[in-house]
Amino acid sequence: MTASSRVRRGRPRRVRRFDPGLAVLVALATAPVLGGCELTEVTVTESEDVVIAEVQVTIDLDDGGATSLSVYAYLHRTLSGARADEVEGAVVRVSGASNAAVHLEAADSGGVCLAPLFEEDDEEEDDDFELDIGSCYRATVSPSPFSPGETVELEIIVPDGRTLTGVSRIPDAFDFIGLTHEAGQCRIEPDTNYRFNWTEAAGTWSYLSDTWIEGLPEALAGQDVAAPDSLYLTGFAIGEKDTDILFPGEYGLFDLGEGADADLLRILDDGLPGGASAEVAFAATDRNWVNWARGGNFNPSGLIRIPSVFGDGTGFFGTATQRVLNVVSAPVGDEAPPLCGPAES
Amino acid sequence: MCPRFAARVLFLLSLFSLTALPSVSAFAQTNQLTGRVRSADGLPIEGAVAEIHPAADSTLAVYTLSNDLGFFAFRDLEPGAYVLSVTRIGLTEYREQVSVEAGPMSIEVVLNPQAFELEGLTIEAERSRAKTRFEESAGITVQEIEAGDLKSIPVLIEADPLRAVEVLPGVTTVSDFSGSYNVRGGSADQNLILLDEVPIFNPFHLGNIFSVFNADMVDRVELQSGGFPAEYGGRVSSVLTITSDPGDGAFGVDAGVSLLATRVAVKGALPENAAERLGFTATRWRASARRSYIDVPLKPWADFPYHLTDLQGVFEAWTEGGSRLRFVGYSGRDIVDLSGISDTPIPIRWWWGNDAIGGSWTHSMGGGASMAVRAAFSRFESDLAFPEVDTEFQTGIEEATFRADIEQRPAWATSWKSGVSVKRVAYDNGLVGGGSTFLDQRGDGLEVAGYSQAHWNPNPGWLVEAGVRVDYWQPNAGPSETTLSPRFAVRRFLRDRNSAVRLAAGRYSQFIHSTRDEEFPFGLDTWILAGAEAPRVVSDQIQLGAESFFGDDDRWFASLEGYFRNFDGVAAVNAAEDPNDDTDALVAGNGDAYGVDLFVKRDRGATTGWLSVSFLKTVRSFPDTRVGVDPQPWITYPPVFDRRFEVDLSLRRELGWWGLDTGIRLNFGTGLPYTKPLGTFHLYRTQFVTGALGVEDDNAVVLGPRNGSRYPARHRLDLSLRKTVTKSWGTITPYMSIINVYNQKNVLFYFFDYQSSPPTRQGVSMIPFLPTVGVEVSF
Repeated sequence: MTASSRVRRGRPRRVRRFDPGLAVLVALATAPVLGGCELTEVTVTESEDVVIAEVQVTIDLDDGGATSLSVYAYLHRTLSGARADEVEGAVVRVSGASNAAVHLEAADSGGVCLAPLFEEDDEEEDDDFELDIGSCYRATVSPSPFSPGETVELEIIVPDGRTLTGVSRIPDAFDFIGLTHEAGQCRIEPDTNYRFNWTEAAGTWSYLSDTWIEGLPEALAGQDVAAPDSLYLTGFAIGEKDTDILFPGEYGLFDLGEGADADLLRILDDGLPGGASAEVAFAATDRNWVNWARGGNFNPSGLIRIPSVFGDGTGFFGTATQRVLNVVSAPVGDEAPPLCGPAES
Repeated sequence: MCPRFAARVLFLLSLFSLTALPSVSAFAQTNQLTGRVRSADGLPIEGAVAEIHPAADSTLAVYTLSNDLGFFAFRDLEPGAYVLSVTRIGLTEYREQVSVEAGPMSIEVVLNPQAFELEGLTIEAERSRAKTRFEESAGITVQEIEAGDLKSIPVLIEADPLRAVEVLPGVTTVSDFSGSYNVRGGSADQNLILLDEVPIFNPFHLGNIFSVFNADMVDRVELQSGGFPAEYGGRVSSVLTITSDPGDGAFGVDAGVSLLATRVAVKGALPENAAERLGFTATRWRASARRSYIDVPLKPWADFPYHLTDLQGVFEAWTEGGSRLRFVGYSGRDIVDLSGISDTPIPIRWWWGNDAIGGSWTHSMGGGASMAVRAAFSRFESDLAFPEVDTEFQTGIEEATFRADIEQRPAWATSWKSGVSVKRVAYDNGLVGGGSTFLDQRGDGLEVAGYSQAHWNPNPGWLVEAGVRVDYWQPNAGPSETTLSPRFAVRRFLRDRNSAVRLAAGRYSQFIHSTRDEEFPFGLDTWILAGAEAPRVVSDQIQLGAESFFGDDDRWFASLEGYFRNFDGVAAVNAAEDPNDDTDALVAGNGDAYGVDLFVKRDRGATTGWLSVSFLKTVRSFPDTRVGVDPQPWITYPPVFDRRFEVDLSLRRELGWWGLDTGIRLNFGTGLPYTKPLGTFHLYRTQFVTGALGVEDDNAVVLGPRNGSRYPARHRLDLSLRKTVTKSWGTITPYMSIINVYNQKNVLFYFFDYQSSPPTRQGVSMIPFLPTVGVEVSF
């Protein structure tokens, strides 16, 4: 399992995968090697042109039983200095067991397929770093034509005739347990944690909860800690039956150096500072998403991902059901939303 | 205890007792002469040649060798006058005329030392064991490295009993940085490593680079790589036995300093009156301590974050009746602590280590029969903590064993060996971080085994061994397993019993796996038991070979052996494991291996050493865990240790004019397989809260056929020089070892960069030219 965090401004920073044995052993065991054992660099043949499809189907749930569907497909290629990375003109279709189908339309990547995370920081500008290298396809449908628990199929046909396919079973729906909120908003007392609980969603391999926390610099003013304007953190509950997570204390586990330093995470261990707020998503994710996110075996040339898109390319076809909340850290007041629930230290 | 389990235990015990019965009646009916060979101070002498012939006709001589308790036996002798002689190089000859009458008779033989070169004695001891095995074992393949050779084989920093096995035939290593090895196409977790009779898990210091065994404590290293008789169980690929040297009873000290550590070993014996009060005629012991020292001199200026320690001891005592009591113990720790160092990139606290203790009582019975009772406990623990992120990875395994064996010789041409063992194994692996449990594997199991094997010399030209072993495994979760393992071996002697051809076949099983990814050639094993989470391994093996002693005084030995093995139930890490399924951390597969090993050894003369040539082809078949579909398709591929051809030349020569003892090792091996990436791609990561992908600057790879490419062939020359200076108080031996004399850049990894234009391949090599020095003293 992995987690990530990121500040909204500045260039993207490296996100570490957590594998404790690997990290330490690589450091220890390769230390003698790095002292002068590099092999001569040789030129090799061009890499194979492989289409990478990253496709996510998400059903948003709300308390009234209404659903909406969001699907994006980001298509790109194996890296090469000799060819384009985009995959324009593709036909992308997701169909369900109920014969409903959704066709994805081409869209600009920025803010649609790729999160609008980055405000250029002149000091850290890096012209060589290309973020948006692929092609974006997207569809949003409300109410969702697919139901939680339904099996859906993916078909992608690229202009040169290559076809990619995938299959996923959407995880079941879930509900919060013991949560009080109003229009998706609730409150926790300053410097406290709240443990979210929810019902089991069959077919879930992992519950991912991620959040953007805002207002930390103001909330922590006067304290000797560096806090970004916005902080992205993730937390996990692993397996269908692991249905609780402590907010914000159990978020950002593996994110040291990614905008959240150790001091900041220690403060968040004790709760959300007063005045800060957070948008928090809770997603029940399927096998395909987990396999792609956590990686496979070891290869020295790079990370390995376990695909769920097959045919003339690779990638993942993930599905999820999710709920989103806004949480503010504030004392009781006339305009404050209701308390999410009892605090937990 | 459930009725079914109790019934199986009773079955095994009855098997054990039944095999003991035939000898009782046979015993009383034979005219036999048994003897025990001991030194003047009461220690048994193994490998002495006992010869007997009618006094009237010396051409009708028959002979045998004394066993490790000093016993020998002649049976079915016609009554009459005989001449018995017992010889052992370095000791005086025993020669007496004896009168054999109906019924058993016993003789005590005491051999006294005679002036002889010490080194010759050592060589002779090793030759005696090799000759004894040749004469008395039909099928087992054993290679031995004794203490002297161990120190002359050039290795990294200091003599290492485990790294030394790399030079033996059939042994493959995948990295200079790892002491793990593979034998004849078996996985690394299929090697049983024993310190005397005690299993040692993960026997490595410094992240797998050095073994935990202190060479000053080692008498010899024996690698059994195939043809195991029925008494062997627990692993399917090999058994490596590190035999401790309890010394000769005289007080002495061996100490040494290497670039890694300082060490000291002390030997001696109990005071005579204390030994007598305990009922022993002779005792001997040796104990050692070792510690890395770099952190100590640096202490005033910096906290060096690593050190290792180990303690090891062996005690042996003999009774008047020739019975032996033996204890062995080991405790070691490695500690890495980066948590107190500012600006460290990996703020960790990590320790790992072994604790092991074992005891055995070998009771000498009449007629050369013996009974041995053994008990052992061994554990390995590791705890890796990331204090800043409240994360901890811990792993542990422990094993407690009780075992009893009995060996009988009901007739001159026949011996039986039977035994039972009960073993409890438990493991506990966990990864916890930030309130989430990422890994929680724990379990235990009970293994009950019984075996019986017969050893039959129908005539001087043939030797036959047949046996059966039953292993019953009851895990705490998952089904119980019973494996019936027949074993058979036959040897045909040729050339006055100086040459032989042999055939051995058998079934072997094991109930333990390591979950370490073998494609990552570093790291510690994390153990898991067969049961709900992992399969048992069953391996059927057959081997056919020829071997011969030849040359002046049999100074040469050569063997050529072909083998085939299959492995059912090998396990691999399931990268696509379902978090909702507690039983799919590993996937079960199968594999097979075949090959040919050539071994040529010269153990006398100015230059001694051996040549190992190995050919191997091995494959594994597994569900492809890198494909996220259900069911996973099966793929067959060569594992990372599939080195097709390997040559090892190890030579030792004393340079007379300088008194230098030189050791040379030349190694050549064809390339190992690896999985070549076809391309790399940018990684993105789902952000559910924004409904889009986040961007990272990591790349992932699209892989080609699994292990479908091979690294270049590797070759390396290593050299060691030792100079022993004799002083009035003892000896001092400075030494130097040079690894990779001509700085060959053997490939450890390739890194492919397809993003650059043009695409490139870089990489890192294994150990470059690396000289190390040290000094040893003895007094």
